[in-house]
Amino acid sequence: MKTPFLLKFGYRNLLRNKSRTLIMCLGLILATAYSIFALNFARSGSAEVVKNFLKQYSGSEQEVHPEYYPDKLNYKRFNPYRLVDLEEHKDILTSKKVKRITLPVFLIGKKNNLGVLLTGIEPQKEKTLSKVHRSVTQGHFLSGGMNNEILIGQRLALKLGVVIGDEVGVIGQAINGAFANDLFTVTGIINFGGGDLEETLSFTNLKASQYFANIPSDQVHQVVNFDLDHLITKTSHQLNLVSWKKILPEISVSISFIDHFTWIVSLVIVLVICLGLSNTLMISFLEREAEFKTLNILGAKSTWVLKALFIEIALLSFIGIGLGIVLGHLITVYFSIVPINLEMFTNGKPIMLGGMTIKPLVRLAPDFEIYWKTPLTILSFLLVTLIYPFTKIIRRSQRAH
Amino acid sequence: MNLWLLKLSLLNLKRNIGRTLFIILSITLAVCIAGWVMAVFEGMDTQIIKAVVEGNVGHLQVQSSHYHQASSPQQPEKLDQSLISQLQNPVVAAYSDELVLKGFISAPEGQQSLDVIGVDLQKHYHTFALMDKKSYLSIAKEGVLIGKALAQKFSYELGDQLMINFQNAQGDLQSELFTIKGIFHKNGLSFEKNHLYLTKKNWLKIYGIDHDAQLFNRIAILLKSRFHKLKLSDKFLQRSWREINPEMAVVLDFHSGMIRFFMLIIAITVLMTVLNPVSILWQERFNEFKMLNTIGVNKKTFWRLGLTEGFIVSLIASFFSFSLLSALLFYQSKSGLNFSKLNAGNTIERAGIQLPRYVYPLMEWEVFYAIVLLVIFVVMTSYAYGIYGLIKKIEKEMK
Repeated sequence: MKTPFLLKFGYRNLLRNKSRTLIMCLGLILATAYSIFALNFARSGSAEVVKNFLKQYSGSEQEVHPEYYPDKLNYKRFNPYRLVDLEEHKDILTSKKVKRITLPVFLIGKKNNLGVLLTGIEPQKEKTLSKVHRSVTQGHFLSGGMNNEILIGQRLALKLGVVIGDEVGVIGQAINGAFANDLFTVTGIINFGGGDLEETLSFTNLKASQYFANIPSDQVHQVVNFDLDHLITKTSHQLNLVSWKKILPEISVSISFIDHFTWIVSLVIVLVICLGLSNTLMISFLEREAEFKTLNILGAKSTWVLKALFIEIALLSFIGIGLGIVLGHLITVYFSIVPINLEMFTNGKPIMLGGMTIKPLVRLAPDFEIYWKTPLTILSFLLVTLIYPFTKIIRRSQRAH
Repeated sequence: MNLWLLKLSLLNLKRNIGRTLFIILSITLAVCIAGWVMAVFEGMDTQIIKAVVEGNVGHLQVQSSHYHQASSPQQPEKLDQSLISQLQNPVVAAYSDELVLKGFISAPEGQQSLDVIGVDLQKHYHTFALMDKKSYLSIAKEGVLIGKALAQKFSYELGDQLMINFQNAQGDLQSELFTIKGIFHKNGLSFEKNHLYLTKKNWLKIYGIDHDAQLFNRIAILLKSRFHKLKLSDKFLQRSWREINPEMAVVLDFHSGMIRFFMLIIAITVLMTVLNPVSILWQERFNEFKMLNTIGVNKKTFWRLGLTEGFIVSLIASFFSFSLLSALLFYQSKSGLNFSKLNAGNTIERAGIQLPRYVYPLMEWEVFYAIVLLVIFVVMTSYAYGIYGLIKKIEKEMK
């Protein structure tokens, strides 16, 4: 028998019980559309959350002295005595990178003295690349140069008992091991949404921090990349390239956990739908046992019967999965125009990551890898679950012979 | 009549045992996966809460206004009899009234700021038990307890002396020398680095407050269960662990949001899976029911028969789900799931707490009942759809 006949045969069989075929189709459409939407959502959501977070302050990579992070299992520890000499590594600087100095210091205010990280930054460049300046809610951002200005978090200001214009004492250690101390004027208050970073971070001008810690002007602790679309893959052999994933493993793991979870849920849904589909198909095959017997008597071989059934399933899968892809894509496209606010998962509460509040509005971007991987997975599952009904048909057919 | 319905339903289910088992298997699989995912999340959330609470936070804190606003030890509150009697509530497992100042260590190995906490040794031991009781009591005379990570950073050993700099009650910078009497190893690197314990008496002495009354900046309260609630008098400022560690509270909210979405999708999936076979199962019996209808069996009996059958399927599926899920959860609640594999075998710290290396799945009975009810709802809906279709067909045929 020729394929067009088999196609017609399969098509007519599907139309025999329209509501049943419709439910089977709906199952496949649901599984495919959900998987495509959920996986696109997970990927776009992760990317948006990471981008939002890294843009705030962290950057995507740091180029540092090889001994700056002495413990390769814990990048929270750093050695402030190890610096990058920019005279030797002029080529690593680009318009998308910023220079930074990070010093553990103690701030002395009216009410308290607290240990914080004082970060020396280039204000003008940070304004164009990071979002630190947007967090300044009172006062103004740093003006640059040698000015002893300091930006501190809202919570830190409360704890120290200082306001804009007040002076705070800064005590630390200079690069030569000597005791370093100076007075800095609070010029701005940072609001990170009440996160922990508001208590542990402070910012000053790069030059002022270098002067404070007796660091030469051509030396810095980190060169931070903010070109999130073009990650650095190589640096000078005398430097270390450290990804944000190593510095902030808690953020990386939290995000990969959500990605893994979405994959697992999608697989579960596909598996359950395929099992149900296989059950329904088996019932519908067994219903037609008498017809198959008649076909056998008329001379049709078991292989022909199987071929006919296979084409029927292929047609059903093609329609179901095809419509599922279209629906999944339409939902993805819709949410690429209307962004999803992740706060809907937290009852409207702000999302905090790494000690700061972020407000990611996720615009879904179709990842075309998902569009072929998902249907392939569904088809594979479906074929596996159909082994049993097909075996049963063959056996019965053989018995009829 | 009821027994007759039950018998008939059972016989009907046995008519095609393979199909019945397949339906039950699909439901069981979906329930087990849904239950397992929920149990893993519940286990994870429980351990996150435990980690936050045990990090000297407690389920609830009573804070003095100065401490609440600026973490300032100035103007501590008095632990008076009325507050003590309120804390002797049956839901309170233990509490620790504490005085807290910010100090820092400056040494050639580096610098570190930390919380210098004055505690009542007995109460703190019963609330947080960082070490054995003997080690707690050993700090009574001029000694301090520090964390292992802090000791490692500054190469301190037991019996060594360490210098703490801090601002005293008069606002002057002051330095004090302490002897290390105990080194605890609990709650992660960040906790170990940032906490130093001494007696309240010594704390008051070094801070420069000469007072006999029991004072506190905060009282960390441990409840018997995280589901318990405690309402103290309004004159005290109370903060829950959620307010003290909002980042982890949001993580938990996010988890429950995801779970709700997941359950909805699973319910729709199971419905789509069960709907068709059940509908076919009823359509197959068209001739039999038509005959029964002809001899006087009414629609009401059809519904009763169908729903009894659906209920039996739900119960069997629930039983299998319960057995399988219990076995799986029992095994994994002992062995645990190694979540550190997500981070190359290392544990991670977030928002000041160490996230658990192993997650032990946990399921509350209420959650299981909710899943069973959901299964019954889904199966009954499928049966109702099947019976309705059949009755419609019979009515059409009769006309």
